Amino acid sequence: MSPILNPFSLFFASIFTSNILLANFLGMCSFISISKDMKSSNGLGLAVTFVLVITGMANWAVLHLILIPLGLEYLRYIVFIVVIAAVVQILEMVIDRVSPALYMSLGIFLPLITVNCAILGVVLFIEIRAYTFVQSIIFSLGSGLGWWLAIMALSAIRKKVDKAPVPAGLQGAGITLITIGFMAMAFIGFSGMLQVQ
Amino acid sequence: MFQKQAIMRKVVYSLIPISLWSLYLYGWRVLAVTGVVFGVGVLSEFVMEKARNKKVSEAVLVTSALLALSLPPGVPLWVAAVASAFAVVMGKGVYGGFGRNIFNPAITGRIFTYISFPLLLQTTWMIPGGFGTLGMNGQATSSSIIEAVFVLLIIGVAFLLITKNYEKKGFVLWTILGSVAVTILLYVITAYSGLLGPEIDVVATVTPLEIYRGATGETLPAAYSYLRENSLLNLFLGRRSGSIGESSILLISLAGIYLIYTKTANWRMIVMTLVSAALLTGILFFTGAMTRLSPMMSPEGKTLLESLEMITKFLFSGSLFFVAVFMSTDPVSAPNKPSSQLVYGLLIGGVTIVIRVFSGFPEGTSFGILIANTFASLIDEVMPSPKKKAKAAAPAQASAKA
Repeated sequence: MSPILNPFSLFFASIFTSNILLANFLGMCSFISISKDMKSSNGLGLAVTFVLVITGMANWAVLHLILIPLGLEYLRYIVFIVVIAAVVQILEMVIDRVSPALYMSLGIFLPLITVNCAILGVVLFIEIRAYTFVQSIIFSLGSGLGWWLAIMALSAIRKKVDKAPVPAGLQGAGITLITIGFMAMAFIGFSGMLQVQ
Repeated sequence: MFQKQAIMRKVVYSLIPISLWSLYLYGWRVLAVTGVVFGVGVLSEFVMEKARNKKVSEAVLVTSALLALSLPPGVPLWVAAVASAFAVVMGKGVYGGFGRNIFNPAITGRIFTYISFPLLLQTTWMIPGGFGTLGMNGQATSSSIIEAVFVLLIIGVAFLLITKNYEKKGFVLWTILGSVAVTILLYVITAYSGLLGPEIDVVATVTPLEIYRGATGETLPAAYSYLRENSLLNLFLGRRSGSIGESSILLISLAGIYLIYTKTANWRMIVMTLVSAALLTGILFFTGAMTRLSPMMSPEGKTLLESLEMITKFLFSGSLFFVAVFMSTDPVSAPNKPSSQLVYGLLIGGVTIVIRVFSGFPEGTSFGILIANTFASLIDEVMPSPKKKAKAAAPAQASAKA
């Protein structure tokens, strides 16, 4: 939309002011379930960041080089998901080969990145806000790092909370959701600071 | 009745001078707000701890005191009640009570109401001085008898539950009747002695931080004259509008020194918060980034001394000192390692100033604390643990070299 968008402010905006998790609430399911363990959170954060950057670039190229010239924009949702699925499949094979331990700890959630709403969300944001190629790389990288940062902060908090005598009815997902609420409350402070579009 | 906690007591002592000063600034409203916050806070804590068969901790007094002092003086009392209940139940209770909270309870209550009822918390400043007789701004009515009854009823019920005298026959009735009687008496006395202040007079007043932002064009001369009236000395002594306890830099600094001296509070967080805020303000000011707030924050046409004065005024306004001394040092929600405490303070100060200058909110201290709380556990995980061996080895190496 706006080529004047400062790349630095876009980068910091996508990490902090419009954090994909805490401001847009995308990618919540794996955020809650994986954050139990710090090591897998780290791995998943890395995986999400990686997938985001790759799919961000790939889908931008597909949209602007194939779909729009051929007038096939109405197919974009299906195509986006297919591209994401392909990238995740490749990533899964790579991780299985490089680090079997990480592969085991990520378990079902690695294939689930395919349907992680954060990924599709970022791809759709890129489309709606009409970012340029470079902007979409910056935005997807920032969003991935923001997601990574948020899940690391939550898993560190959960490590502490797990030892606390939380009321029985709130243990597990309940107290985690409350914690996420507080985190989101903190991030409201950044609202209205930077423009993402 | 209470679980004894020496550290928490010292914090309460250090808050006494600040409370007395706020009494001079805003009068009866301070008592009302503090009463409601304490009543509801203790009551919520009692309910939460009853389920665990534990006593009410003294920490709830600190939480209530800090929350009460961080609210605007003209805040409607039901908002104060909501803030207090949220702070104690959601900020602390659900995490398992004292010592387990991830986020600073007082701040969670403050932010929750700040986000939910922004108008009620941003427009209820009072003109400081004269025991609150100078009136207040817009929205809220000044004290009303219903509010006063509300205060004493809550305090009465809290008192009843805690002293466990509610089993005795007739005690409940007498407490309620007594509360009402005392309230009416108090109201009549204050109303006729003029201590209550003008009931309907609406006097618009804003905090210095709101003056610094948004003053452009036509409002600029008024802002400049306001700036001159609010001299550095006035800001330092605390003769300015703002939240109940945030204004007096002098008293807060003294309390901070007392807390550091008695080893109740950790100097690292206080110093780092202030230093990082000051440095960032300086950088933003001299690079001209603060001009986006208002042309009067521009470094152009100012001598070095005037620039420094402007920066100091910016730091002295708002609740930066109050938060640095009392909120950032909460031992429970802060990280434990010395190195991570430095980073924690840095984060609070930095985020505060960034929000003050760039975001839509005039004040960022509460958000700064909440964001630092969010990352406190992570900072603690990431920072290298203080190696006792290394410390022991370092002098040995030094002596070996010598």
